Amino acid sequence: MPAARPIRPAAPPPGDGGSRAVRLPGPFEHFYLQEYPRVVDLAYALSGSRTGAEDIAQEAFLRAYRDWDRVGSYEHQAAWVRRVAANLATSGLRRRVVEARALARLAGRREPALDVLPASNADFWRAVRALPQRQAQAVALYYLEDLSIGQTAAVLDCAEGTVRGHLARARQTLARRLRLDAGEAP
Amino acid sequence: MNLDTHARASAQAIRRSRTRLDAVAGLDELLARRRRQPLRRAVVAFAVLVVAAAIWAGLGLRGPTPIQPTLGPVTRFRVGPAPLSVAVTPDAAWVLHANNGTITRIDPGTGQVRPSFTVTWAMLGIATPVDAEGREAPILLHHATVAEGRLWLVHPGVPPDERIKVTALDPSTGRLVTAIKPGGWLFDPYGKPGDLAIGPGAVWVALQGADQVRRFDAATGELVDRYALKEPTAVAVDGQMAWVATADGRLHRIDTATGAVTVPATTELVHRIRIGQGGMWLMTFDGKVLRVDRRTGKVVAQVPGSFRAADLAVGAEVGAEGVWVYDQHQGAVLRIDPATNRVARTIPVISQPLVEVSSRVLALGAGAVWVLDKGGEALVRVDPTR
Repeated sequence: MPAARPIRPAAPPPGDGGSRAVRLPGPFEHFYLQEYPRVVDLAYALSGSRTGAEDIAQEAFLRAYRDWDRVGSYEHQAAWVRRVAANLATSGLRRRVVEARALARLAGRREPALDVLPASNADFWRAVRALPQRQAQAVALYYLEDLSIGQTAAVLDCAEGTVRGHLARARQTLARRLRLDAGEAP
Repeated sequence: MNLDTHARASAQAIRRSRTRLDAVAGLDELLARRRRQPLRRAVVAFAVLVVAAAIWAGLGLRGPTPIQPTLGPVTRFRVGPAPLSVAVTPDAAWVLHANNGTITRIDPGTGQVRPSFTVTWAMLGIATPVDAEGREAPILLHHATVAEGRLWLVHPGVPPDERIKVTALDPSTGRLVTAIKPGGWLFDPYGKPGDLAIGPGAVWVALQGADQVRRFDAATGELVDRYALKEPTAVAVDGQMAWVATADGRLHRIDTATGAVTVPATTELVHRIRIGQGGMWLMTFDGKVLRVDRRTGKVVAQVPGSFRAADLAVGAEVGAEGVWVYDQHQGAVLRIDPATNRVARTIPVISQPLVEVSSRVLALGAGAVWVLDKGGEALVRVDPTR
């Protein structure tokens, strides 16, 4: 992630003309800049496409922005946007739509592709994506986001016991598929 | 190698791969997409107008429009902005709209759509709350269901004592009939969601956060019984019994006459319980549909396939119209044949289903299956016989 860059001054408000920038509410801009990279990581882990992940993250933030009057009042805005991104990233149809859009957008770009993962790490995330949807989401949130069981449950909108169940089953499957020692459950 | 070590190294690799990710550039893109939206919507609206005009012109050439619209195998009705949940009585389908408390009524025989009434704070028996500038606070309804001839609304109460309220209205007049204070969250998408079931003369609530199932008198709203059950996730009424699923995967049976709670079976993490068509049907958080023997509580069959119960919007309903599942990811309703416990029909109804967080979008009644297309602001009627 680049060093801190100044945030642009507020743009004209919506309705001042289609060619001008739209004003983002201050709290939303702050929320976006703080959470965006981590939401992209989450979408990348669950979708397997870095370019698609950026679009998935933007789609999630766009939904938050459209409904910011409501979402902005939530105590757990970050959990909300993660849940939307995780659902988008694990929904096959949605993922294909955003990936197609991302590829079309990148067609005219000259920047090189972003770093690819080392093979063993790529294999791990491929195995995660092959898990049932909720298990994959639980693994990504727990290991990648470094969330506690309680925080993971809040994002997935389920009980802590449910998350423990998902993680336990996911760990068994991953250990078997990747031929690793499962170790102790969290 | 240990799985934990490998998982954390793989997580680190993901984080390292974002070294060239530019959040501010991403913000530019988000702003650009936001700017393009009105234009895109205008283009879509124009295209829709052109198509509508062409259809209108075509119909004009063929003769007069029939007075009553024809209901096909799958019929869509535009219901207006922000539809939230659907409930069906024998003579109407009711669509609840988010944020403004309005309810739309659809005649199931003719398909005629008309605004019904707007839910007011007074209807809910709550003194109108106002903000610091004296403006009336909007009513945020969570969902609606129909039982015992009443329209039951789940909505916020007055914090901190009444975090949620369940109010029964007479659907023909909008008059308040019963108000219930469950004493905890029922559908909090950020906490521990529970469940609501309405049976003969009783309202059951599963309060996962409070580790309790409570039974209220449906006529008076008074608390009748409470049962200590750790993290109840789903509840259903079965005659003089109630079934409760808990987060540890157990299925409990409550005898309402004696208050006895037994644990006949351990199943899976259950999201919803539905009873009918000769069995009990469980929808799990993993997206499975299981059939259970009501005498033993044991699973007797699993419907082949994964139905991706990703959140509270996805669900199964069982009624005279059969056993139906809404698969949010396909945007389709699926009929399960109780004779074979297999999917017998898949009917696509929504081309671009939204990824939902909460609320209920599938209902059975008035001889049809009803699905709410929230993105398309429409109610879809599926004829189960065609």
